[in-house]
Amino acid sequence: MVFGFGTAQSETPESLIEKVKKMASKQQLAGVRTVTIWDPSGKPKTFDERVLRKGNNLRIEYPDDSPFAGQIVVESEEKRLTYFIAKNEIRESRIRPIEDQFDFGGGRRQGAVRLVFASGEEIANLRTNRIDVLAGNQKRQSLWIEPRRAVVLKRELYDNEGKAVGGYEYKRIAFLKSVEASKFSLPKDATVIRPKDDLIRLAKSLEMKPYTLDPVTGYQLMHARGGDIKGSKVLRQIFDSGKSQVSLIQVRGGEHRELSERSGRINIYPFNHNGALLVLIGEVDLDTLRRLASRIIVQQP
Amino acid sequence: MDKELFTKIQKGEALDARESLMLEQSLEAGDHSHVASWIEALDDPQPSLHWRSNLNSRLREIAPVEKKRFNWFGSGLAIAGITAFSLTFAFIMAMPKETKAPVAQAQPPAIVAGPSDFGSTLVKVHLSDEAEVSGGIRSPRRTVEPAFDWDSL
Repeated sequence: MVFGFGTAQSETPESLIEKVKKMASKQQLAGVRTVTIWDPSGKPKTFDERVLRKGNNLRIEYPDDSPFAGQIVVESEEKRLTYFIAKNEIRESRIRPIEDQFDFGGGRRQGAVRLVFASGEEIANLRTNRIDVLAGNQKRQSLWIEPRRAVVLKRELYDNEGKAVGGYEYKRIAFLKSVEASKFSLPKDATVIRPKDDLIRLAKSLEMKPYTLDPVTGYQLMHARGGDIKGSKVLRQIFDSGKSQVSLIQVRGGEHRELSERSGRINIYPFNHNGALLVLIGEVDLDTLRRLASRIIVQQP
Repeated sequence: MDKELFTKIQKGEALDARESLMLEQSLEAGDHSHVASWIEALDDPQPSLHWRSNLNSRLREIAPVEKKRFNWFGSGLAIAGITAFSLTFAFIMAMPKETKAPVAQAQPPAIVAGPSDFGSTLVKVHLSDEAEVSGGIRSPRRTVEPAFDWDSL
């Protein structure tokens, strides 16, 4: 266990994470951070976000030269609203509350989850302590935390091979005395597109039926996305139960006879549903995925 | 000999295998000379189909069962097949069991094998989406779709 500079000797990784959760609702700050998301081919996508935060409310803007310029993201509690200025349209998706984003005990884990201190480094000119989240011997996440204010200045998430799948790092940050609440409100007359609306629209454009998980399963649709993967049209949905996340992916086109059940940290359960190829993926056991497969419905408007 | 056979038939006595075969061959070959003479000698010169049917039944009952020669090649294949099946069955039975929940409509996958490349890609996509939901990072939509993948240059 290596303690970073500024860590009280009595501080444990668990107590520092608890402090992060507790302080989240009190923090007011403005910062610029670089976000990196690795696409399935392993190619990183990097872009800057301008973040304004008042407790659990977050506002994100993008620089004028960003491909995402012209949209504003507002997060509050369990919703993420993305406002497209030119269209006067708000796309709604769901997120886990900030406190839950630092809850590492949920879901099925291979072995107990352990939090360990590792060598921190200077991020945005602030000294940090690093906490590694380990499942067995596998690193799942790393967090670089400024210990006095308990702010996460850098975060990286890893896949089952230990490769980074996403993360952010603040380049500059300022702690503010107050932030106006009005900065987190969006136009009331904007058209709101909910996740299920998005699902129906995407399914139509991909010439698929909008199959989804029945809400009685306890899994809530967080967001739906469409696209191409290895020459196949893919409609993907991610669900959250509060304890675990599961993806339902509908695949059209291409030969995927090799696609099979897989057991491991992340389980895969492919199945046919009325002629459609559906795949359930998640860090839950195969029986759970099988049970979910029996709870497929067509999303109604 | 023929007379003996004829007498046996008349008396309804059991025929041995050789006699049965001789009678059957005569009937099948259309050797009506013997058959006709036997029939003429019968009390009832118009044997009914029932009589012939009974005769055939009796012939079948007493006809010797032809013993098939043992086919070492065919049997070997059969034994190999049975052995393979037994081993497969034993292997399946020895595998750890998973309790299967009733699955309505959903059918199990056609092939249950190792991981696929496509499957690995789907897992990565899932992890990326999961990171968005629970990790505080997001992949925003482009405001304007580029006409070309400039990152590929």
